[in-house]
Amino acid sequence: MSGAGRLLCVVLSVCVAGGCGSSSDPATFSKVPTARSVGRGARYRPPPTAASVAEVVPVNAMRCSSKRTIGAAHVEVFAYGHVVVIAAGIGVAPPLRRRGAYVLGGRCTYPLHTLEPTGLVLIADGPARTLGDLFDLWGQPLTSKAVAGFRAPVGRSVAVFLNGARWLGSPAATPLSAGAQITIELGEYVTPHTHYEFPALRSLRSGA
Amino acid sequence: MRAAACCSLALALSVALAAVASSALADADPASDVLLAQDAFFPYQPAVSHGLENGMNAVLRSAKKAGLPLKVAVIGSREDLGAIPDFFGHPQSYAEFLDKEISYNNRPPLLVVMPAGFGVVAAGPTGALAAISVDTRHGSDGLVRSGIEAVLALVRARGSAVPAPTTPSSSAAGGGPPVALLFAIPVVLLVLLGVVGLLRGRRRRRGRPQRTRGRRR
Repeated sequence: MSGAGRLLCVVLSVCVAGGCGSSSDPATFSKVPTARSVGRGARYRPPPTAASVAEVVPVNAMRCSSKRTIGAAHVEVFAYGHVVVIAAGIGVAPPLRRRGAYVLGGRCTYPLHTLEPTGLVLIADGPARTLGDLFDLWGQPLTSKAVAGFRAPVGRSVAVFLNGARWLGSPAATPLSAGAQITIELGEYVTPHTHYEFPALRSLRSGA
Repeated sequence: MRAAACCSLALALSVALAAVASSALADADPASDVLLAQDAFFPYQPAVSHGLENGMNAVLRSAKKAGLPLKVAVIGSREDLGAIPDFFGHPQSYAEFLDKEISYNNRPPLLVVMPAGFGVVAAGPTGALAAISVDTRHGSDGLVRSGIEAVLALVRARGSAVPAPTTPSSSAAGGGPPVALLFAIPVVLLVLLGVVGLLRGRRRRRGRPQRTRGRRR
């Protein structure tokens, strides 16, 4: 092969990987990743407050006592290929004080709570918690066959990934610890993330 | 022959890389969720001063009235991108990605501001922002201030105009008092204390001889 041929080969390789200049911005990605949008309809945006949280009663031995936050986990839910929004204000007793997309506080907070609709779950000091605890505070089901308002297709199950690896136990028993990146999905496979860049706790808009 | 094999391998690798990249699915960037409920996403850290946050929201309201219902994502660090931090430094690529995430019932015009520059989707010609450089010297406040300038420029490029919002000056960036003022306050206090001390000293000096004289009298 001649030198010109080799050059053509290299150019062709770069073109295949880079999409031949599909973007004006030379990104690290050779191709813009496939984005997932929020699904249509209210089922994809469940409200934050469970009846038990509204009544400020203990949930799975968790009390609404506004304990000190010690860390955060990131949780995302996909149903049939679309995003289910994890609401801001889960585990925060009403009345909720809101500012735009954020919840600034409420009457008190449970040891697991959310202040923004990004899937960032704040974890307070105390015993180890699970994904089931979060869903109980949310008032949404989480079983091997159902997540929030969605059921898995016949013969298939809900899949949970913890830091990118498949969790083989019960979805509700998935440990929810500081620094965890959890992906829950049903109906369609979505490549799970293995890592999340967490913001510093002091930078979060918090306060019960 | 060897070169041909090398070429085939390179091509196969390229195709594999492209496939891996395209399957790197995501929704884990905070801006995509926040922008569904409000028109601007601001960096986590350092926090944007309230004056500038309000200024951005005000200019976005005006832009909407002028026919440009813009969404703005201000990205100050990798933390603002959650699970897809590799987009940091690539505003146009991220804008194209974010556009797909937030295009729900419609496709809102989008502006992304990063220290590396601007990204624009369906918001007008990118050339409209050619004259604006991103302020990277004043943290999140600088980025938001540049974002406001960019919004105004995009509105102008459509042949409309909206008033510039009143925002804190760059010297007051960060929300706190200017550094010069922090240094000046103790200096002024020391000078005042010195002046008071001097005056008291003079009074004492004047007072003593008078009393002595009085006693003598």
